[in-house]
Amino acid sequence: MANLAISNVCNLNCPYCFAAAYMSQTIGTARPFITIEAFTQRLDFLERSHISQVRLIGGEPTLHPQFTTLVQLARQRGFTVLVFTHGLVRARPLTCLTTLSPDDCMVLVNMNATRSGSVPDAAETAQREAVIRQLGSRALLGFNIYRPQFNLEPLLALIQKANCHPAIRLGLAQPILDGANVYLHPKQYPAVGRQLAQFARRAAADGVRLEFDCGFVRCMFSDEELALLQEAGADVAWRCNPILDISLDERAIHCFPLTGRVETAVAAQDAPTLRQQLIVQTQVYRRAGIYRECSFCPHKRQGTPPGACTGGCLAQTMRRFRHQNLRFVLPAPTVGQGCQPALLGEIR
Amino acid sequence: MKTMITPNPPQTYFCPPHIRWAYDAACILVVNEQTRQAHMLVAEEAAIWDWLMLGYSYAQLIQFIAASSDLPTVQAENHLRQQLQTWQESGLLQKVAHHG
Repeated sequence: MANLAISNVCNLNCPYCFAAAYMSQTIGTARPFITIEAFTQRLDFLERSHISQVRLIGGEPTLHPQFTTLVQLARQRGFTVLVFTHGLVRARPLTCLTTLSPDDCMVLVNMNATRSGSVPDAAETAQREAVIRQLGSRALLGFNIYRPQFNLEPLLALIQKANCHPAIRLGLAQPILDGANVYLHPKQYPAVGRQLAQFARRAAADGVRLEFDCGFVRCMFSDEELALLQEAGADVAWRCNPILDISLDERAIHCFPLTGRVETAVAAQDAPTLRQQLIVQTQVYRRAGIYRECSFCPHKRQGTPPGACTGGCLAQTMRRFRHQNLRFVLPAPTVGQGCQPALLGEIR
Repeated sequence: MKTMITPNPPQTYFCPPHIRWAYDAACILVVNEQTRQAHMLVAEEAAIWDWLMLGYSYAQLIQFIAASSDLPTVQAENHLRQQLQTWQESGLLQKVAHHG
């Protein structure tokens, strides 16, 4: 799996956007869209990595002026296509996607993307729903949780109405390592866990499965809540791996929140090699986790079904670490020391 | 006139930029991004690291160690020097090179 950034431009303003650092790095310094030549090289990269799916990200990928050409190029070479979009898709790229078979094309629509910097307004919601109805079963609804209170009920209704893929992809908003986006604080995770466990039962009754994106941790759910989720068929997992976000300037980034800190040049390498390099870069932080208790937690050390907890999002974990520009003067030892402390200063 | 013999000049230590640390529940976890090693500091070692990073002076550190470990100041100072030496050897601290 690897995500290809084809656009550094987005026309929305989501408060939790974790690609903001990535996009701002390239403002005014690089082309905002991938060239056809570079995209062809990315397809070569996927081929040599034995990856059969092209995952298009941005910014907003459908804003690429040659979006249709890119999708056609990918399809001509036999790739299936997954597009990560805010859902306010213009007519031309939408037509391109709806002409593809649902077997070859999946569109992950971020349901709480917005221009307003808050929640989507009525006009955005209406426009997004119209797009989703056209996408039909190609549409997989996604939702980024960035506040402890949220409402997923409308998504169930929309899945039925638009005959979408019967699943909801859930993401926990994570912090950009050196940035200032809005994200869910780990202290709020258990409250979110309780709501998700309740909602999973409701969703299962409608035949809808919950899928967890990266950054979830085992301890945000009680044993009962975890059992409820499993009973409801939710895809519960504690993931935090290098996704491989391939930037326009050909860097392989661990994931957007770690832009500028954990990345490597793609060059002529394949995805497993790049992933291994990024794992090595981050290994030293893996002993810790998002909570102070993680380094001694049995869920993390030994693993519990359905798999060992990773300790949550690496960006969230790395934010706990600090550096101090310390300069400390050690006086010369006096003759014959053992020592007499030279002068005992006043204690703060 | 008395002559003061100092066998070694004062040393200045600094914390290199690739050293980062976090407070964990039962330790201070210090990572060296260059060597990719993690160090778990516990008990008194963690306390000294904490005081050091909070910016307390040499003399203050000796007082704290003496008080917390119930040691005479001479032993506390030796203990501190040994600790700094250990951290220097493991790369958590570096000495500023003195010239001239």
